[in-house]
This record gives sequence, C-alpha cells and structure tokens, in this order.
Amino acid sequence: MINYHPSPLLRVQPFTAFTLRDCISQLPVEMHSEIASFLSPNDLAACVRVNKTWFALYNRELWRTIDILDKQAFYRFAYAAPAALVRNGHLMRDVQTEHYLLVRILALGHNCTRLRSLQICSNGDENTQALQPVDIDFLAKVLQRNPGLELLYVHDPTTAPNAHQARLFAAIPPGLVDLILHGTEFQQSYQPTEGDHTIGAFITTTGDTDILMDKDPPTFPLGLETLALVGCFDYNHALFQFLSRCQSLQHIELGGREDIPVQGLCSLFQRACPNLISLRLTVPSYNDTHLADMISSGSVRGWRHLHLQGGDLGPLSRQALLQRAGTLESLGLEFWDSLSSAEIQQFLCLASQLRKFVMEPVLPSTSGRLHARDVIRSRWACQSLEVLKVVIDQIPRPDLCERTNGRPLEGALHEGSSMEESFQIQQRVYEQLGRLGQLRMLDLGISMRAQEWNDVIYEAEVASETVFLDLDRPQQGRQYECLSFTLESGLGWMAGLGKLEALQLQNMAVGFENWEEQQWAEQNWTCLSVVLTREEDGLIDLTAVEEW
Amino acid sequence: MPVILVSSDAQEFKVDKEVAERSILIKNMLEDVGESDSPIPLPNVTAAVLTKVIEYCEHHRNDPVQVPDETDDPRKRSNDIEEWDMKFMQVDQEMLFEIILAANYLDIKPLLDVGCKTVANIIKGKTPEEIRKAFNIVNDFTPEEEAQIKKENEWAEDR
Repeated sequence: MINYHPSPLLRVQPFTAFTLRDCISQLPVEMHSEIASFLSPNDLAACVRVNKTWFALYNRELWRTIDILDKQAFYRFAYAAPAALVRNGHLMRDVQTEHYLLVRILALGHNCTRLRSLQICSNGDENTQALQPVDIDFLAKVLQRNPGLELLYVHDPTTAPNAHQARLFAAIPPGLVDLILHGTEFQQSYQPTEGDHTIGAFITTTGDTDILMDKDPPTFPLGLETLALVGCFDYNHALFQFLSRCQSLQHIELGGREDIPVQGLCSLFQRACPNLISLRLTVPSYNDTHLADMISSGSVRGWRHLHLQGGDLGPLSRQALLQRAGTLESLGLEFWDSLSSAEIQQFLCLASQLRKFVMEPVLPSTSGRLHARDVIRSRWACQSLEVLKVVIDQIPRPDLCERTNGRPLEGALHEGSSMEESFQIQQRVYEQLGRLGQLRMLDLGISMRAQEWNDVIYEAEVASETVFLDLDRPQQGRQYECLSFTLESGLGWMAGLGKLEALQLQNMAVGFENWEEQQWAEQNWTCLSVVLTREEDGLIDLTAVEEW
Repeated sequence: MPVILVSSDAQEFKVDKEVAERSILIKNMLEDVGESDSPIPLPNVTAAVLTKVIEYCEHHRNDPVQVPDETDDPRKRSNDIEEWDMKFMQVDQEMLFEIILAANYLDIKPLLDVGCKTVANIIKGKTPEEIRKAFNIVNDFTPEEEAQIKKENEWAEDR
C-alpha cells in the first residue's frame, strides 16, 4: 500500500476533477430553494425525477405554486389529481387557474389545507371551462379547509343573476386579506357538460355538498383589507351583513350594477368600517347627486384615495371633489364630461397631500384636459406628487404644420402666435412640473393608436353629430398644441425631476427623440428607465412601472 | 484601513475594509469589535475559496448595496448573469459548491445569487437523465416510481 501525502497545493483541484463527487446535492435545503426560484415549472418537473434526494428537495418547490393556465395542463392535472393531491396537497401555497373546475379538484384534496392564495380568472376563451360558473359548494369547502388563505380572486365575465353570494360570504375565512370578485356568478351545483366527461367520474361524484346549507350566517369579524365586488351582486341583507363584518376594510371597489345604494353604503361605511380610506367606483348610472354623496360622505375618516369612472360628474360632485382636495392622496377620474381645466388647476393648487393624480382622457371628449394658460396661472400645492397623468394642451405651436396627411394645422394657436410666445408659455409649464421633485411617473400623452382614434371619432360622429363640430380633429392621432420637449423650448427647467422613472409622451408632437434631449435626460433624470413617445415604436411597455 | 482575514487553513489575506464589508457577516463583526487590527478568523472557508471570494468582492467593491425586495415574484426572477460574473463562475463544480456555501456563510447575497443562478442555468432545459449526467448523480428510483412521479407532474411540463 502506498502511503500517499499530497502536497497542499495539489490537494484540492486535481483530486476532485477526477472523482466528480455529487456535491451540488449536498447544498443546504435553503440553497436549493434559492436555485429553484430561478427555474420554470418544466425544469422543476425534471428535477423531481432525478433521484430521491432531489425529489425531496424540489417537489416542495414544484407544488408550492400551481399555475394551470392552458387546457392541456388542466386535463393532465385532473387525471393525476386523486393520487397526486394526497401526496402533494400539503405543499400547495399559491394556485392560479383559468379553469373553474379546478375548484372541484382542489376540494378532493383533504390535505390541501395550507393555501395562501387562490386565483381563478378567465382567459376569455369560450372554448374552455373558464366560462362555467364557479361552483359555490366546492369553493366553500376549499375555503373552509384553508384558514390561512390571504387572497381570493375570482373573475368571470358572465353576468347572470347571482343567487348564491350569501353562501360564499359565509365561507370567507377570517384571515383573508384580499377578496376580489369580478363579474362573478356563483351557482350551487354545476352540471358537467359533454366536454368534461374526459376528466373522469371523480368530478361528478360531488360528495358532501351541504356544509353551508340552512345555517345562520356567521357573525365573527373578518380581517379583510381589500374588497372588490364588481358584477351582479345583490345589495341585499346578506351583502350588508357581510360588509358589516369587514371592520378592518381599507380599500373597496364597487361596480357593475346600476342600483348600488348610495345612502345605505355610506352609512354602513361610517358605522362599520372605521379604517376605510379608498374607493374605486364604476357605476355609469350614478347621477351628480349620487356621486357627490359618495365623494363627500364615504367613510368616517373621509376618502384618501378615490378612483371614479362613469356617471354624471356634475357641479355638485365637482364641488365635492374640490372640497376634498386638501386630504386626498390620490385621485383618478375617467368621465366623458370631466373637470374643466380651471377646476383641475384649482384642485392641484389645493391638494397638498396628493401623491397620485390620474385624469384619464375619454376620447374624443376634450374635457378633463389642462390648458397651459391655466397651468402657469398659480403654483401647485401638490409637491409630494409621484404619479401625474394629465393632458396639457393649448400651447401655441406655430412650428407645426402637418400637411402631409391632408389637413394643415390652423387656428389662432398656430397662426396668430409666435415661437417666442410658445417658448415663454412652455418654459413656465416646465417650471411648474419641474418643482415636483418626488415625481416617478409623468404621463402627458394620449395612449391610443391613430386608427382607434379615428374609429372612435367616426363612431361618435354617427351617434351624435354635435360633439365634433368644433373639435380640432387630429390627424394620425398626434396630439398637437402640446409641450414640445426640446431644450430650446425650456426643457431645462425640469432638471429637478431626479426621481423620474417613466415618461409617457405618446402621440405628442415632441422633440424628445433628438440626441440633445436624450443626452440631457440621461444626465438629469438618472432614474428614468421607460420613455414612450409614439405608439408606433411602443416597444417599451409602460405597464412595467404602471400602478393603476 | 485594511482588514486581515484568516482562512480555515491559516492563510492570511489583507484586504481593504470596503472590500471585506461586501460580506455582511464581516461588516457586522467589524461593527461589533470597533476599531481593531486583530485578524478575523473564517473557520468555514479555505484559502482557495477565500481567494475567489475576495476576487469577486474586489471587482464589485463599488456596487450599490442590494435592497431586498420582498414583493418580487420569485418565479419571475431574471436568470441573467453579467459577463464578468459568468467568467468568474467558470469553475469546476466542487469550487462552485464551495463558493455558494461561502457566500451563504459570509452573507454576500449577490454572490450567492450568481452561484445559484449558475447552477439553475446548468439545470435549465435538461431532461432528468441529462441533469444526472451534469452533476454525476445516481438514479435510485425504480422505473415504476419514476413513471408515477412523471405522471403526477405532467401538468408542469412544456412550460
């Protein structure tokens, strides 16, 4: 036997190079979790078949997050489910699917008890099971087994009357934080259609479905912080009883029904939901008084965040908004007849707490836009603003004359004004914007393709010919009479926007594509990562930083 | 002021404080001890590995400190590795294993990430058999067991 003493230098490298020890398997479990976080489900499915050690390391990672989005994956899951759920149900944490029948399969898994999130959304494909109503008894059973569930999201585009909402509300676990129900229809027991037979008999053996039948609704308080009820919910006793249990509620979204009762809701919010600060409302049938009541009464603390869409934003509700300006932290409006330019300016001059302001343009309406001459009239109070979306127009731009597409730009703003005047106004607008040192996102553009723009104008013209008589109809969807974003026009005044991350100038006639302006932006706006200037080159997706 | 690090095999390494403090473990130690020039023993790291780790920290001495973002979806994390790191990680698997362990022990999150990404990139797109070959792993499943596991997890395939 040779007594072998390797020198220290040779000790490590050559030896391991030849033995090829399986060292990776011996990394601590946490390291494998870390590695798994960089792998796709497909890769994880390969890992679990490597050997018993790897099965133990990677099976928990594979089953932690279940995304059953396509039909094929759903059927494969369904076939294996009876055995697989027994072995792996306890590993499941987050489930996302576009197949409502998956709820039935989950209900089979007696040890599937540790879910954190369940998201059932529709892919809008009518050929899948997605459009079948959610089976309330099975969903209730899944909810009952999973007291740790934090998020439940159900989306269904169907809009049939909903008779079973009370059964769902009764099953909501006390720890649920977010409940998002969009266009949801619940049905007591779903009869499988022909296409479902392939899934097998276990789908149709319903088992005990009477867990919630003929019981009084529970009264224990719920931990819900976010609630969205968008769809055909009945605003009946059951719903109000449910809402009165949501004492921790902070954010609520309502919509989809025309008869959502304003007075009843406002008094319930004041009585039962002391922490409610945020409202998102989409009720096209609300009149001015409804909206004004919603805006000014709301919760006991008053609204900090309002996002309103549809209905008649008349003088009462506009006045109510201006009265709330001092305490609102975010405001989003999407109305055909929105705030006037003077009202927007007044709001921004009053809203000292404002962090987010979104004035969504509803084309081809020209309301809800801010005129440059109003912008420069007085100083904004919203110095903490982080997100600003508003169209600023009526800036003289005699430099523009687009004859190539038929119509020359005409009118007082183009013919009667000088470039000097244009630069003076632009400078002062840049100055106002440049004071918003916290701004992360600035959206001055109109994100709509030229074709869509023309379509919407054409359709609206057919519907109502008066709307467009004095509209300066845009060619090629470009927004004229806007800031030109050139150094020559005074862009330098916006050097203070050091935190700007995203800039949206879609469909504006801007010079920001020039090299000088880009250089300047790189030096001054060091956080800027997304710039969108034209729809045609919309290669960069603004939604990466979008928050609303 | 330089800091002296001592590997498990008693080799001393003199490095700038700024470089050593890429390791949160060492940074915390230095903060606890205060101003002192006594050497810092690292009993879990050999000289060969420590040399590599210091090389990494030297190269990344001016990187901004990573802020851990809890909200990131772990499944959507990028697998991109920058070019220098990629070259740096071209080592045998034993060294890769040692670097990951050392990065974990010394609490150098970016190095740990690069190490785990490197392993993940080896796994990516491979069949179970190819993974076994890549890491020299012995299959201890019976064919029936493997078929059963394959069937249970087919929903995750092709994605």
